[in-house]
Amino acid sequence: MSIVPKNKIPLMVVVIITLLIVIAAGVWFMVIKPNQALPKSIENTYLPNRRPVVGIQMVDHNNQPFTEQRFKGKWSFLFFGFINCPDVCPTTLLVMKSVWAKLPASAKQAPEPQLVFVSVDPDRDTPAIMKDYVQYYHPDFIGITGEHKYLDILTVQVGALYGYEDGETDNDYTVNHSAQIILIDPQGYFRGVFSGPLQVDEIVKTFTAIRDYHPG
Amino acid sequence: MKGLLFFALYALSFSVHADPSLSVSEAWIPEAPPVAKVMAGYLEIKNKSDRTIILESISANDFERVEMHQTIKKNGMAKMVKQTSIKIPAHGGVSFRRGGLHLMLIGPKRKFKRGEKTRIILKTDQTSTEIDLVIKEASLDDHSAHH
Repeated sequence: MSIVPKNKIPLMVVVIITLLIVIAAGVWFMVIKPNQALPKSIENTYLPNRRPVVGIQMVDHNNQPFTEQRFKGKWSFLFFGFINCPDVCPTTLLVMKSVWAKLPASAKQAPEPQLVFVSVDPDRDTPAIMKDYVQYYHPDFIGITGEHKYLDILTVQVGALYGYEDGETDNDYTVNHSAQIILIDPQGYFRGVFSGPLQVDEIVKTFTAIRDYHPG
Repeated sequence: MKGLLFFALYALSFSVHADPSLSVSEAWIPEAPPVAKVMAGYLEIKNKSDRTIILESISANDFERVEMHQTIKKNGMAKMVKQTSIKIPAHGGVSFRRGGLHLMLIGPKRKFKRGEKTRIILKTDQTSTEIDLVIKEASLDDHSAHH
């Protein structure tokens, strides 16, 4: 009967080893492997590790509250700029207008894309001015802004930057701002960065591929 | 005071002419939303002479002020840097284009329609020269590529 304990110990070892293998495999498939297996077409844009975007208290161009709830169920493209920006901002909005025109119908189905122009110049860019501005480029584009503390809450979470530089008069300052486009997934997580130079066809292709790849 | 202003304008009208050593092309302004207080201006300037010409300032009746700015993108940040003067090399040229050097047309005094022209005055270290910028549909096409 002394054989029984001898048999029990190897059995425990087998169970433990098996468990360790299962856990390791789980970690491998759920955490490590997805990072390595990103399709080439999206690996420069898509963030495998999602990051929540919360505490958003902005106001949209219709003077309505804009919180993180407005990210849910849509793919949000965020661009940070200001209205007295004659070169970079109009060019980016023209790029996105062109992207909107070129997106295949399948990429416009729910969860549909939305373009959100975030003004980092809330002292000059009122909701009314923003409405005229963004809708000049596309009637579906949305303009949002907010108090500096809320702008900071948003920009910090998506890795965007902005700052001011004095001009000749008090109202004449210029604004430095991140030039990339931030992608937020329909679950409300920071999911991607389109870095410059922004090319229309590249954005269309990459976004379509991200939609195909993204779970849910 | 009025007389002095008149004299200044009168004198200016004589000093303004086309500088034969400069040739300007593709001078345009992309249409902007009516709420925009700043518009961009783009143009190509060629210096046909044997000496460097320095573009010192730009003025325009239809705008409160015109500045020259360089868009710089560094580490994902876009920044505009005001240029106090621009050197146009002998037998060379300078391009004011999207995403680079551009005119900042600040404080439009009127609304512009597509196809309309607005005059600006380029003041160099030698002369002043008048050119017209055409208001065109804002598009991603590089207008200089049409010629």
